[in-house]
Amino acid sequence: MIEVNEKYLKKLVVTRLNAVPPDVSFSIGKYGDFTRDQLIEQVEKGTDVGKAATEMELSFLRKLPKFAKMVE
Amino acid sequence: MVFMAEEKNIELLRSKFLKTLAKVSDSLRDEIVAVIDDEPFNWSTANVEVKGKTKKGEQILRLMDQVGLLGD
Amino acid sequence: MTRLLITRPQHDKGTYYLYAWSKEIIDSAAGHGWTVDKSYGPKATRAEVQSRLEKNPPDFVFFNGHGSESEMCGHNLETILDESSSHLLKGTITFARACNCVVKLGKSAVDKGCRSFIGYVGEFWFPRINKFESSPLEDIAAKPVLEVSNQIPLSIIKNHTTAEAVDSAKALALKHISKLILSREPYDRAALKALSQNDDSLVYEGDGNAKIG
Repeated sequence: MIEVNEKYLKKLVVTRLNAVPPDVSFSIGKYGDFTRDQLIEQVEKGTDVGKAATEMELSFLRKLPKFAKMVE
Repeated sequence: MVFMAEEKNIELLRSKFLKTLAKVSDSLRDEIVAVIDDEPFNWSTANVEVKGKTKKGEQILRLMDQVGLLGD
Repeated sequence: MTRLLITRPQHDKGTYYLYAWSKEIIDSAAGHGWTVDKSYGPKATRAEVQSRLEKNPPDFVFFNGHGSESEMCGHNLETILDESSSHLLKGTITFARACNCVVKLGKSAVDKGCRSFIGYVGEFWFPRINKFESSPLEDIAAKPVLEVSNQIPLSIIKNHTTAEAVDSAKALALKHISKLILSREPYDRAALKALSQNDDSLVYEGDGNAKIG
């Protein structure tokens, strides 16, 4: 049985980031500027910006069912 | 008894999945929500497995529930 | 004469985008007859900014750049303001377009007499399309996100209250979100994520009725 742990969450986020166009970069506040591939590396390494990016992806996923209601 | 409880739990997760899916705009259903053995599933492909009551569908439900994607 | 103090470092790609997008604010303030004090590029330093705050106290302060819970940064990430110097914002309305500043810096500033402090309790981030690196105003991924955050200083300059400025930004965010959720374009998806995240963390401390004039 697959467990949801840090390893799985990284895998989920990396898979999602791989679906972002390769020519998109992210300016993430104090952490600076990252290309898509650099951000993926940060997530895999579990750095502070990687954790911030993970949290942003998961927040967005959890918000998906709420968007329709927001724009009602 | 344990088997029945687990089956009931899966049915509950299935109903939460369908309820949450109904709230996700069609254009956002391509968002990746689970990964099993490097195979990504978005809302739409996850729905195929969940509706088909496959083993993958059950895994997807448990993963999504643990990540907090199945709403209340 | 109403005075705006704006910081515009441009030492990396992110701050260069903020530099470009904040020109609209300068033009709007000037158009409304305001005096605009600019600390930009290598002049966005602690010495320069704090000197301006002390010698020519502004009515509205607009910080662009990187930040943290307790500090605002300028050129090359030098701390230009922190909790120990937050008293310099006394009497101002301040907007920090930077991460997390409201959490401690904003609260400290308001405790020491800042009328209101608008900012973010989480990360402020935006996507960029690499080919627009030298023409940030044409970047369709960054555009909705930076337009929304521009709405705050534009509203303040137009004599709206702090609460109205924040509401106006959130309303514009919602308008963009309602279009973006229908789009399957990957660039739009990146913008949607950032808009949503930034919108959730946009707040203010202090007097919601504070306005200029």
